[in-house]
Amino acid sequence: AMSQLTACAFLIGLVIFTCGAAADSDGGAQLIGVKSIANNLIVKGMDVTVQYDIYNVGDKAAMNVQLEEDGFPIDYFAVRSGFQHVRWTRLPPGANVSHTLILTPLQTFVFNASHAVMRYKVSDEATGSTVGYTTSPGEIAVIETADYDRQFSAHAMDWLTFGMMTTPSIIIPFLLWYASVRKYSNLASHSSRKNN
Amino acid sequence: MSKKLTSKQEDILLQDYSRSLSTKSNALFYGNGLIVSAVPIMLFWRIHMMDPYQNAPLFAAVVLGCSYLIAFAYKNVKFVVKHRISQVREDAISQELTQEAPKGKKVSKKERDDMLLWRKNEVADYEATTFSIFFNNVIFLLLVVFLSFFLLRSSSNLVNYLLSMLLSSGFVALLSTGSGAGKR
Repeated sequence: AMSQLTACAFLIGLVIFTCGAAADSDGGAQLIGVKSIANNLIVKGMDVTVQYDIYNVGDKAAMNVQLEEDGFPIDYFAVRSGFQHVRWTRLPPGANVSHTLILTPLQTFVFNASHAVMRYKVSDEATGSTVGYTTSPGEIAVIETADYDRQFSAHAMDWLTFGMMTTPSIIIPFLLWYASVRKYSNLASHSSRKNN
Repeated sequence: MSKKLTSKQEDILLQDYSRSLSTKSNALFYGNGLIVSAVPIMLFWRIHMMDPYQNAPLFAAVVLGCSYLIAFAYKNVKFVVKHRISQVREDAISQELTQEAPKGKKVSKKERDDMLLWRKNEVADYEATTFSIFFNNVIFLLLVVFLSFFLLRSSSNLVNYLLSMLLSSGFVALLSTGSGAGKR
């Protein structure tokens, strides 16, 4: 009788535990944030596009969603477009929102782009905010404009100017030489025709 | 015993077979060498982004060195080409002198030979000078562009400039010493 009672108590405890675990995962918003840098190369003085995508993978709408980006110091970056602190009133379950921030690097340096912070309420009834973090793009290097131009600029005008500068050194001697060659070649051919 | 003076013909022959240049030719060669050595600075400044003010001493030293090597190449190529030209142009120059000779006036054979030799030397000198400048300039500039934008493109700017300029001018100078230049 004692062993049967113990077994029953164990089974009941197991059922309660399982129900409790199930209750914890049921309901409530859950946000996943992705932070990415759209540029392949980050150049001083040229725009950098930072893209934020927030997905609600939970079962309930996330309320009062706030995205806080404090990872770009004003000494190093100037904000061209977009906001570093954004708020959405409601993000339904299964939905997503995007936000774009455009910055201009002011210096040449190696920068660690870390995560942005998300704050939201998991449901209408929730009292406190839940904090989440976006992904981190990692270390980025801001290169000089000169290095970028050296690699990618077509330099069409520069090549044209170089061509014009080399013309006197090449064309003029050639024309002078060729004029003399033609003159004496013609004389030689006239002379050979006369002899024939 | 009085010293026998060299004839005009001997003077012209000595001038023809000598490597020495007149002041005018020297000025022409060194001036051209300076110009053609300085032109690539524009490429390194605008495309390789080398600051001309910071690198002015380097540019000046390399330009002077390359000018010397290119002028050396000019002289050698001119010397070789001149003799070939004078052989080729003999008939044409003879024809030209016949056309230019004042009608009715008799010219002695010796005077005619002197004039022919002098004119041959002048024409060969002119054509050899212009050809030498053209030929060496083309080789030098092509080499500079090839070395700095293809072979040495991943090198630092300093190494790129030094090697492309010095190797190009060195190659041009070396090339000019070949093909029997100096051997008579």
